[in-house]
Amino acid sequence: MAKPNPIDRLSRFLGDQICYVFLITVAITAYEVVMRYVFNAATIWVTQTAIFLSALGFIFGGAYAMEQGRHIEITSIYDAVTPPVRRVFDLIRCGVAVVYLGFLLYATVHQAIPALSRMETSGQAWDVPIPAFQKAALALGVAAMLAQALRQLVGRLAGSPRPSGESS
Amino acid sequence: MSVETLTLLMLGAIALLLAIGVPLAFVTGIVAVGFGYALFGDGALGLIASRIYSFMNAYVLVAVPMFILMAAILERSGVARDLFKAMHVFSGSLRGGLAVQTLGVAVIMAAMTGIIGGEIVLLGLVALPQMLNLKYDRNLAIGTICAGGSLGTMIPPSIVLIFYGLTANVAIGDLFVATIVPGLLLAGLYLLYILARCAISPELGPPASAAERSLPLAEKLRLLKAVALPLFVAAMVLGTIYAGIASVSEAAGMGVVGVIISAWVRGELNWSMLRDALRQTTVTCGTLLWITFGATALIGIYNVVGGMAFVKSLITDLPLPPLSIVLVMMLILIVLGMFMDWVGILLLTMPIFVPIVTHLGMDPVWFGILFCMSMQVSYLSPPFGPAAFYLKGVAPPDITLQQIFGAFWPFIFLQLVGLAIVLFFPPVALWLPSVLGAG
Amino acid sequence: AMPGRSAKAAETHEWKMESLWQGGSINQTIFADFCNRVDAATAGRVKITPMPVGSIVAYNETLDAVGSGILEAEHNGIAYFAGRDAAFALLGDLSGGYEAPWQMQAWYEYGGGLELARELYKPYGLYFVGSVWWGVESVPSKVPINSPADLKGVKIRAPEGMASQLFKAFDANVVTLAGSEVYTALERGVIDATDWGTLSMNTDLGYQKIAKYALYPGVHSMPAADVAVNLDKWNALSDDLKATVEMAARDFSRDMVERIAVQDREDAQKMRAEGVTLIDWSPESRRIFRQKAQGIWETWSKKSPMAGKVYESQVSFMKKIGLL
Ligand code: NA
Ligand code: NA
Repeated sequence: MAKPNPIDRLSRFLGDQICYVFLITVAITAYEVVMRYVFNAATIWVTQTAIFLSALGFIFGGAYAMEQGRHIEITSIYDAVTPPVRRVFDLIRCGVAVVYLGFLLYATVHQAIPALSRMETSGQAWDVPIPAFQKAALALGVAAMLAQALRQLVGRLAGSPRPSGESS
Repeated sequence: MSVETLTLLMLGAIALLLAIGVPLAFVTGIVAVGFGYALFGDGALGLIASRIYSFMNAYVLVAVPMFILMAAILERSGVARDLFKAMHVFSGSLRGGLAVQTLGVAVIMAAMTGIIGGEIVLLGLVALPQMLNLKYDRNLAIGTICAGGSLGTMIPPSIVLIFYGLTANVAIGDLFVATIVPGLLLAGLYLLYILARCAISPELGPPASAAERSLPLAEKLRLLKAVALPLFVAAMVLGTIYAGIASVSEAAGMGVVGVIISAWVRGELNWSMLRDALRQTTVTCGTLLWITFGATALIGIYNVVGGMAFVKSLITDLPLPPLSIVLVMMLILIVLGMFMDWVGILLLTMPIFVPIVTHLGMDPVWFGILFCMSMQVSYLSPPFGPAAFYLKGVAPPDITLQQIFGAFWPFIFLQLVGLAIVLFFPPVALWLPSVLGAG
Repeated sequence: AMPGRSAKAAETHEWKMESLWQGGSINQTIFADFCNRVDAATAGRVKITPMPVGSIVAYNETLDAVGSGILEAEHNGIAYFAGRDAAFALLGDLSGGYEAPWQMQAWYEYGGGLELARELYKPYGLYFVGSVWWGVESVPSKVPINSPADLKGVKIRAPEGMASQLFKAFDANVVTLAGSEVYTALERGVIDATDWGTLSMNTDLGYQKIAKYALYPGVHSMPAADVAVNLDKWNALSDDLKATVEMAARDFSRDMVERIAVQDREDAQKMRAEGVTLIDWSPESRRIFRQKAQGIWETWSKKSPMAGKVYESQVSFMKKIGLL
């Protein structure tokens, strides 16, 4: 088997590492419940942190799901057409992903830049720059997805078959 | 361009892209980006980025990965397998017994979760493989899991009713009480359907074998022990909510703590199992959330082009009696439910519908229950059917999305029957609040 | 834009304006009335489409949306933008500060508030037309909170920065909880009390059924909302239209405060009849509360130069009218 493509490796690396945010979310949620209920000392940071961590999981899970071929699609017509038509469908599918994610990258970068430049904070009692980081993370996550989409488009143009697992 | 034409063009584009097999996560997204950019230029892109960013900040979303993680750990530990084995043995000679029990588990879980998704993922990971192993009919199993799992927002607590209450300024407590009977009514309809189908065609839901039924008592008691740990998990979730220890979303986190403890007690907890469960959670979330990101972008664009005015034009000046107007509203909700998720539908329609309903002298609590029931239909109806996506995210790969949707039709029919019952007999919803409200 | 349109047509301005109000609420109705009055007063030359909260962008994102031209205008809670600049917090809700909307409106109109608000909004690409109050907020509670001392140990939900710090300063167990979680949490006893809306907003949601006490009139919060327009769209108005919209915004605030106050009073009577105890803090309690609050305003005033200016201006005005 050929060595995995670097973009695939990046997507997989992101997903493999980002998944721990959910374990941390469980831990801090339990901590919050115990602090509030047992010690009558609710924290000011758990809610915001839990939302932020989950958001990171959602954002970077996108490229991970693409690499694993897990994005959901309807294949009844795709399965019924002839191989040449199927190839056209494939190119359209990859093209749509590239165009959407390209526009989205432009939009999310333009959203992240002002938020980062003024280090936008949550404005809550725990007044931390989570919004700035989260807007930046969204742009990075979209960039990772766009890289994955481009890699799939190039692969299809070169005539390679759909990666296993991508069809379902 | 008129909003009518735009609506048709958007729907046409969605249908075409879906047919080609473009992943759902990109279908709604590209339609939003394409129409938005063509009509409004850069501003539309800013709107889309803003909506996607904000959508992630809904705290209720934190519960989604928690329920998926709970399911992923349960599946990897032997707890789930043992539970279903025990349920199968104890269901005895009842045809379709396991489906009935799955429905029972779904109703209990509905009291634990208030969101769409968590339950379906859990049952899809845990119950579906077991039912298929035991030779249950695939369509019956899928339909039971998705229709049963959707009850999560019909039995309180319910995020749909909370949002409806906040939007329509209706007491959330009244909505929670009013939805109990209609929720159980739906569950009852599903139950009757399962029993009837299995009575007519026994091969759809084979009962436990004679050998399994004649297990010695000691063996049966050992199986019962397997049930204790899932009950402990349920108690973690339900107990912390109803004892006022944790909020609904926090309770999902407590449930994960519960399954980790269960797996540890059984000696099945190890790092690689936990890591695999976390990775599955990430993939499933990545799949599901990016579908809703696209949907939320599309709703924003649709609202900018005047979607609300369009919905209003459909309903106002209708020379119809009040009940028929509500009927038309339900029709609109069901059609919208084919293409949008419930938050978008709520934001688009309720500011228009609720004042009309109140003006006609009808009870907004009753209308809230009707809305909630029509959203039950929306979870299942193709092509945008969140229940199908949640199940597809965790089902064995050989089960296709079209097979999942194909299994839904009888259950959608039952949901429409339930909706009609509450529509024509409002006391089904309003009797319980009137009894309790007097006290 | 259509080529060759007449000068008269060019004078028509169409705005989409997103509010902070839920679609079915009385507040959104009052907002829609404002839009209709602008239409009538300008003979249809300024047409505003009222949009409910979240219909185009999320509640705390309208500032960027209007600045970048996605929306033409907004009517939103000023303190929602506290993450961009702490000045928005002090300008939007001086927690524990004023006792009635007219006092804060007086600061805006005669104490320099309006000028500071316009200075603050300008770099974001918005013109601040005016501010709108909806009355003092009320705190539904399961335990009696008769004075600041009674806050000790009470599990109280408070979302905003300053209010939650203020409760904490009196040793309350302040809980951060998303809006969608609050009702169930209060019902089940996860929390004892919550910041929410005015008395009538709380009654609509049925809080009186699960919480038998309410602070009314409340002291912790009296938020202001803005009426703000994209700067280019505003500059495109002729002077008579500008004056008309500004006047309409001022009338909008009065309309909102009065109609909500009438409903609050009606609901207060109903709640007493249902056995809810309404707690009105003594002047002494309010003074103690406000003193502590000033310390928190001061910490927020140090977060940005604009925040400092807004703080100084309000404190000197409050001293002038005898609140401090
Ligand atoms: Na529920
Ligand atoms: Na649907």
